[in-house]
Amino acid sequence: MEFDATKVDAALAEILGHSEFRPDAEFPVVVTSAPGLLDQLLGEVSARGRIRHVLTPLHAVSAWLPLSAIAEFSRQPLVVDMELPGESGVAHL
Amino acid sequence: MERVREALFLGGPPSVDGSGVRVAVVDTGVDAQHPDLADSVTEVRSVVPLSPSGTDRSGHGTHVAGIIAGRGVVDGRFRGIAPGASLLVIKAFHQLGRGYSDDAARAVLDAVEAGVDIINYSASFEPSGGPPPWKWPRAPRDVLSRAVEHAIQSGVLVIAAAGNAGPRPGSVGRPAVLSAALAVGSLDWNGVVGGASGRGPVYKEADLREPARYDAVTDAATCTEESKPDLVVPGGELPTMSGAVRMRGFPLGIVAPRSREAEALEGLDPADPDAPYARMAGTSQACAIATGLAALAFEYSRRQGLNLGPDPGKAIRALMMEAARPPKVGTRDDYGRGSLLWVNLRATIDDCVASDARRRAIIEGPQLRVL
Repeated sequence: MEFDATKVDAALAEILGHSEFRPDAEFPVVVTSAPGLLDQLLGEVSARGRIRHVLTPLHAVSAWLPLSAIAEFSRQPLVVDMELPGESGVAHL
Repeated sequence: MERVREALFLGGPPSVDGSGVRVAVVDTGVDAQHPDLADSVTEVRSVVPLSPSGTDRSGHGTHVAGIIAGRGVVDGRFRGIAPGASLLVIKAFHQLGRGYSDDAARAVLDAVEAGVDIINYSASFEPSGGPPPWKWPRAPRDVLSRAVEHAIQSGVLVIAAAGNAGPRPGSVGRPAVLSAALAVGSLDWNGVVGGASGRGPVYKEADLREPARYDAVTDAATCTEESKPDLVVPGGELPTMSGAVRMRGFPLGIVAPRSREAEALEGLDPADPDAPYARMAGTSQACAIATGLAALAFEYSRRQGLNLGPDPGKAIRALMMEAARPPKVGTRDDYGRGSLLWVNLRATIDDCVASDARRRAIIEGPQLRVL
């Protein structure tokens, strides 16, 4: 699947590079827009997937998106960064 | 909590209790009906998409909230550090204590928007791919780091657990690795940095997108090091000594409020009035204790008329760093600036009230720069 490797983090790049995933397989992803373009990005992401969070101060939106859409968004000029959300755990023994 | 309070408040109990200070607890939710927390918790939210209730089914969030601002209604021995503080609890982790970074980022942003003074983040992202030492990007672009940076730039003090991946070097997790966050490690009951407490240094590389293992032999030239954690406080860890001694005198964990929902899940009777507390240990608990101390410092500074400048969060962080003292054992990579007692923090604030030159040196001085 063709994607812009300069805009995606290593974990997402690994998934995009795996031929075993179908294009409609959905993954959570954080998409960051260029400043001032969040509304436009939000509209486009909403049309392709399910919104998890709108992170306005960060010009970002997180959503479940099909792999094909993730690859397409990485090639769009309004997108500056994409990442797979990391997992975090509480810190007690 | 009784033992922790005795240790932290050597020289006498504080004259303040955190009143007027708003603290966000980004965690597993809270038992807001617990008698010790009913008046402290002013709002509960959830940002976990599949768990819209702020109910705490883990017990971790309730324990952390109780350490910060539990009122000791059921048993005064287990009063929190700053029982006058008000808590906004935002659930970002599910009942197994795990969560995604975009949920946590949303919680941090919501806390900033709500106007809190402090964010308590008793959780840690520990990268996959192997044990520490870890290497981190110099300018992190991940969503949680950006949210925490936004909070700090908005004047909020972000206090984060160093994580429990110690004692290997380079074992401080995210977001505690961020330069401007206050990273808290834990002391055991002997006043020694706990074996599991995350250690420095923090290895950073310029162009790295994701954390990876640090190979000290081959990668040294591409990395720089930063000092972390920033300070240490008790976290209820067992001393590193023989099992027999552990069993006799050093129970694992700090006693603080227990979520009744978690009790029910564990098969205990949630209505049992004799069991409203639980023991937990680690840098989560240490983080909450540091947050309680920060809340006391906010209120005390305001009452003394101390000018904290345009960025109160950074100012309180600088005061806490200045007041920390090296513990009897360990290195700077173990304990950062040292352990923190209220008597030293109060004295540092008093110094700044008495001397504007001292205030400027601490609050506006080089201590605020990246260490």
